[in-house]
Amino acid sequence: MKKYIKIMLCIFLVASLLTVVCTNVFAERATIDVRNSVYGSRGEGFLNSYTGASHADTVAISNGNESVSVELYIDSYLVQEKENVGSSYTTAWVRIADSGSSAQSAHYIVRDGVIYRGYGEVFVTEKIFPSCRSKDLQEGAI
Amino acid sequence: MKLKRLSKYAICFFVICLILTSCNNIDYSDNTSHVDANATDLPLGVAVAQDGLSKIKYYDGCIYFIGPSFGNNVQKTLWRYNIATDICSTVCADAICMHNTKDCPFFSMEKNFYISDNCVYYERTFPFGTDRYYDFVRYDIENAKLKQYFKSEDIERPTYKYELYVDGYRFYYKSVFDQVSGEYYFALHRLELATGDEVALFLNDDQGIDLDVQLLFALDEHLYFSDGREIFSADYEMNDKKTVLSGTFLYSDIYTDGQNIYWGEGEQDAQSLYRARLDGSEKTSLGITAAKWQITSNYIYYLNTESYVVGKNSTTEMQGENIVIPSSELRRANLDGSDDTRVFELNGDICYEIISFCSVGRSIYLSYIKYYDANGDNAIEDGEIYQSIDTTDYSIMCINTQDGSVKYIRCET
Repeated sequence: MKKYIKIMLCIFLVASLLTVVCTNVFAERATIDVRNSVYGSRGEGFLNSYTGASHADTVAISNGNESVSVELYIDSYLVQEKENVGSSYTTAWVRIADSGSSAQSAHYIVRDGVIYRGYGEVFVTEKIFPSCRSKDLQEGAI
Repeated sequence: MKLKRLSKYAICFFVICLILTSCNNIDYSDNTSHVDANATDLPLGVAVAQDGLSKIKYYDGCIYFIGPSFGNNVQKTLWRYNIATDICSTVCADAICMHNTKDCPFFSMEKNFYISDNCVYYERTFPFGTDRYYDFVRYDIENAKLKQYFKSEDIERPTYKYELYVDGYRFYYKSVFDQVSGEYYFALHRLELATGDEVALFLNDDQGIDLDVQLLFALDEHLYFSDGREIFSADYEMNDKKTVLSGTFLYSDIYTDGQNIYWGEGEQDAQSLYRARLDGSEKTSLGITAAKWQITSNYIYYLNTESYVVGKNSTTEMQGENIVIPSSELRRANLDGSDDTRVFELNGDICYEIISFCSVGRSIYLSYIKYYDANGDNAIEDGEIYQSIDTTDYSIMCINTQDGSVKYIRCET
């Protein structure tokens, strides 16, 4: 019985260590202030990139009648964008099952005709533990 | 045995029919009233403050919009659709350019752009890597020459979407740092496009012009402004200030056809429309309440204020709230408000929300969001929303008001 518990504990320890290593090394995240120098911040942007998945979103502080949008780039090439127009939306997000060596994001919030911007960039190291993907994605800052 | 096989065939046939039915092209022409617009009807030639973020812009026989570049490595680039030839092409005139590298003049262009005197004016932002900057440039459509006006490393600079281009000048609101208060604010500036010389503009009392005073349009070398209480004019040096009209105005949505001023009163999304002569006389209610509107040489086109619910928002971005479309019809009236007619119904089997539109001759070009509750569960899921113009997927809707037909303009990439 004792032996069984020891084996289980070892497995648990190794799994935990792998998870921590994967999260810290192979997932990169950035939080971006969507702002301008006149009126300051109007929201936040988030950029997460993992080996095999990338995600970006823009979250406005409050809703308005104009737009919230986000652009996601992998290795500087535009892979997806989303713009939500109108008062129903405070967020816009995109996600793709792809990653390169770097991911970039552009976040825009337009309120009362004024464009607020924020940009993010993260670098992702080489994939070693692909099984970490789904866990990392769940931990993303959405 | 035979019966079993037959029933298998029947099920297959039924499934194929079901798929075909769900994919077929719906006849959109039911939405229109087949109004026959005047073929000579055009967007106004008066220099107005342009909304740089407007998804589609008309200039000299073409509809301009931002779409995807060629190749796998997609970037944004500027396109135009020639109405007469029915041809879409990139504005970058280089035949071998794929528009996805820094060599292309439209690489990394911002969403707000302006067209005047056969030139496109826009900012480009290069926010990644070690060399981060933005610049403001002009691309000459006729000779494909690019001119850079200025360059800065302040990539998160503020931008105001309305700018006015007239008589070789750019009038725009620029962020300025106030040494006294220690804060930034927007102030109206004038850029001479030939020389690149820039000056800040002040009213007679040396008061800076910030966003509380909205630039509207230009006529006879005079700029027209609204501060919400009056519409006034001044020359390009901000001298010769004259009050044209007093009242309660919304800051934007004030237009002119060169003879009259048209404006809305009330709420931004429910404007009661009026017009008066340029000297302020003959103020008349047009009997129209509009959520969004614009005037052409012959008509007022507007979106009515009857909102409707498409269904529950069940998208991954927003859940539980109803999706409310602010207008149920695109309508048209004469410039005096008479002959008010429905042009396009937005609340049908497919529901449309119009983002921007412009009328040219007998056609109306629109960017839109389309909602289609495919499974009839009164909820809109991710795959049931289509946004007509973004960089990776786009189409422009074109309504022919003569025969009610609708076509979609797409460009081959």
